[in-house]
Amino acid sequence: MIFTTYWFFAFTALTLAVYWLLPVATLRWWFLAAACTVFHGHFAGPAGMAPIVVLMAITYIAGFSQKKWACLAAMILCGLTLCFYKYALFFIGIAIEPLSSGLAAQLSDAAKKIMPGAPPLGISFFAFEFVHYLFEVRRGGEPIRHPVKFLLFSIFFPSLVAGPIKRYPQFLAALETGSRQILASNFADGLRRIAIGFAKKVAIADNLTFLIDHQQPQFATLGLFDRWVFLAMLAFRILLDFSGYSDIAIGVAKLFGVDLPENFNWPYLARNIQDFWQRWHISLSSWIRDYIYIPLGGSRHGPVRRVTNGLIAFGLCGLWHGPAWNFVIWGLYHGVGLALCATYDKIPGVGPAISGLFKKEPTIGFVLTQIFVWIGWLVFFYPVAEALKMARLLFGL
Amino acid sequence: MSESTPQPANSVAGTAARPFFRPWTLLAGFLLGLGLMCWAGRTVTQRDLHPKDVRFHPMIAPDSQYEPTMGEMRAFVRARCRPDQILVIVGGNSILLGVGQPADRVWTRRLQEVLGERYAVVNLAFRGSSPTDGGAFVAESLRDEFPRQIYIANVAALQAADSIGIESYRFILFDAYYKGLLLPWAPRDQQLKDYLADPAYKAARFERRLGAQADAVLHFRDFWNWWSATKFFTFATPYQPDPNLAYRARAKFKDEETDYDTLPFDQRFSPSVIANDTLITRAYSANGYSKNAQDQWQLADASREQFLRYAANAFPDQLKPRTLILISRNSPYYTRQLEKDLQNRDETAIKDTIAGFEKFGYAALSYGQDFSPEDFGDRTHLTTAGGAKLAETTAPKIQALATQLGYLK
Repeated sequence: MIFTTYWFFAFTALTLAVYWLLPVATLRWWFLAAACTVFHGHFAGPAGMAPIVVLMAITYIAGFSQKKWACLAAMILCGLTLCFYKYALFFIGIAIEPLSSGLAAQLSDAAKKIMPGAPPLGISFFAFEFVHYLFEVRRGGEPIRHPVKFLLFSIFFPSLVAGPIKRYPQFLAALETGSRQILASNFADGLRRIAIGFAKKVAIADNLTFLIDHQQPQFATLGLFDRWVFLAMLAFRILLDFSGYSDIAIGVAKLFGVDLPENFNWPYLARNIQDFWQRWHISLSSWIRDYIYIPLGGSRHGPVRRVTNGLIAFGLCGLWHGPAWNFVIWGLYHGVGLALCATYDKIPGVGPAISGLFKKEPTIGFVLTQIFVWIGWLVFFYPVAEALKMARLLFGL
Repeated sequence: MSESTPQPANSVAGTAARPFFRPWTLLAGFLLGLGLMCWAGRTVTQRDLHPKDVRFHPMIAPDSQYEPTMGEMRAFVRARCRPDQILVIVGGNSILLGVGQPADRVWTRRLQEVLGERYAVVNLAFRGSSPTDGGAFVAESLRDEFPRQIYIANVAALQAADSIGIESYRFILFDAYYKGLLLPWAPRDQQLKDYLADPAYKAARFERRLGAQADAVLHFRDFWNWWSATKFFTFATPYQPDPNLAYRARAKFKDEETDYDTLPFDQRFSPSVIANDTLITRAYSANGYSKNAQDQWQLADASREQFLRYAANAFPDQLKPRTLILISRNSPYYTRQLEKDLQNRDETAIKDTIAGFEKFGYAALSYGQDFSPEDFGDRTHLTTAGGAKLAETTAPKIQALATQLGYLK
């Protein structure tokens, strides 16, 4: 984890000191852009940096031109780049391998020769932010003309590692306002968030990881209560781990006077699946909504299209987490959950009754939502067959 | 997923609550807290965190992901050696750590008894460590505080070590080096420079160096070790004997090193162990030796040069005379089964090793020649009886060295 390296601490401290010692905001932007480039170069290396620099240049030029076709072409390129670096081998495995294993092997070898050892650092975040930018410019939004500001939007180091996925109008407004004057409140809030983030990640999530890894092989031999405790540990591990990252990112950005979007809002207090997705990984779920679900037609063309669009959006949301079937299935699982959540009250007879019950006793909705979400984490973390077995064992089956 | 309830990106940030502390108060609190922890880190190293221990047993050693700091080990030494005593620091590997001997019968206790009150024996050996690891750096760092000191470590025949120790214990070198506790020693400086510059690990090693440099100022490792040793261990690792004890303060764990005297022979010498250790014993001096025209074993020039280079660079010149290298033998259970020719080769290798170390001013001594199979718990580690024999073999050499170095004046 980059946030727990000494390099990150030293870099942040040094960059922060110079940033605030510079007399005017413009100089701060230039300096911060240079520092972010150093940061990206340090962790991504030349092979990881090169594709991002190319994408960044194309995105900037396409946005600058404000030509719809250019923006569309650049969006497609961003999508293809993401698919190539992150999913090429997965797609070859699922699409080509069943038809011709020889061809699949050849394509895999060819892809491996071109690819760096690992996908470029933050490729998913870059692709999503660039697509958002191009989409909005294509829709008539004002492009970022200042190259330094565009560079800062692209590689602002606190959000480069694990998000949150930024929106450029908010980011630029926050940068312009926050970088003008040093505020004790920003420092205090930033340090508080960083401390909370580290406590979540290092003190709790990492320890839960140890307990989970220790107990998982013996899951079948655990008592029923302990199995549910295990599931709770799994659920809180991912929440605290991921929201810990986000807290650190938001806190560090705050030290530079920049507000990043929140990523979590007490998701385990959600009363239904829709509510959950408005509280969990907010920057991703809102991106999926704005740039996949709604462009596909959203809920505008009847319940069948609505459900289909939801399933596509959430299948892709699952795939975003990694090139593996269990992530896709986890996404579809939530897609089905959302479809049920959006339509159950229309089921003749029982629908209104269930809806009435949930309204009268919201705790029932809360409990069912958490059970649904927590069981979903089994699919997220373990191979599907193993996850199903564990899910059965949770109910003593 | 709902279109009717758009989620503004900053919706949560927008609902700012009234802060409990004023910003300046909170900021000052953070800085004060950081300062206090740094001060605490500096201060706690003045206390012995392991007053009941006679050595760094697995629960307070890297075996269980506990990495003792230089400050901690220096305090361990200070608590066991008065300024008027001659300090004898025992470094080296599991043999000198006393694996196979319980804490109350460990060989260094016997060595203390034999040497008497005039000496203070402190065991700073670690499993698998080389002569130039933990104990060596602690002794070097205490050269001015305890100028009358002898450092003991062990090797096998023709085995020497890098001046920067081995990877598993390099955290101790980093701790000592970047806190400025070591003597300038060009071969070590160069080795460390080469180690840091290795392109395959450059980023990871730079990170490690940065951590050590930051710790030299902030003393956070000392602080956390004090916390982990006396309060509770802050993160769980798979190395604890029982996950339920994962968070227990490390100082509460007892030294529960295996007692070879209580283990039946069959358990220590199973057929697979015997087969494996026989092969190792046969290879003890295999590298570099061949017969010359007089039918005597002779070390190849390249092997000799390599060994001598290691020996020359391992310790700073001014520390070599107070360094006693023990050359470990294998158990007679195995060596007696060797052909006479191989036995001769081993003896030649041991003599060459002693001569090589002595050439550069070290003291060197082999042990185990007159030991019986019962003195060994396995191929190399000693039983209580073997440990006592080691102490009795080593003590006269230490006393002679102390006289030679003028410590007894």
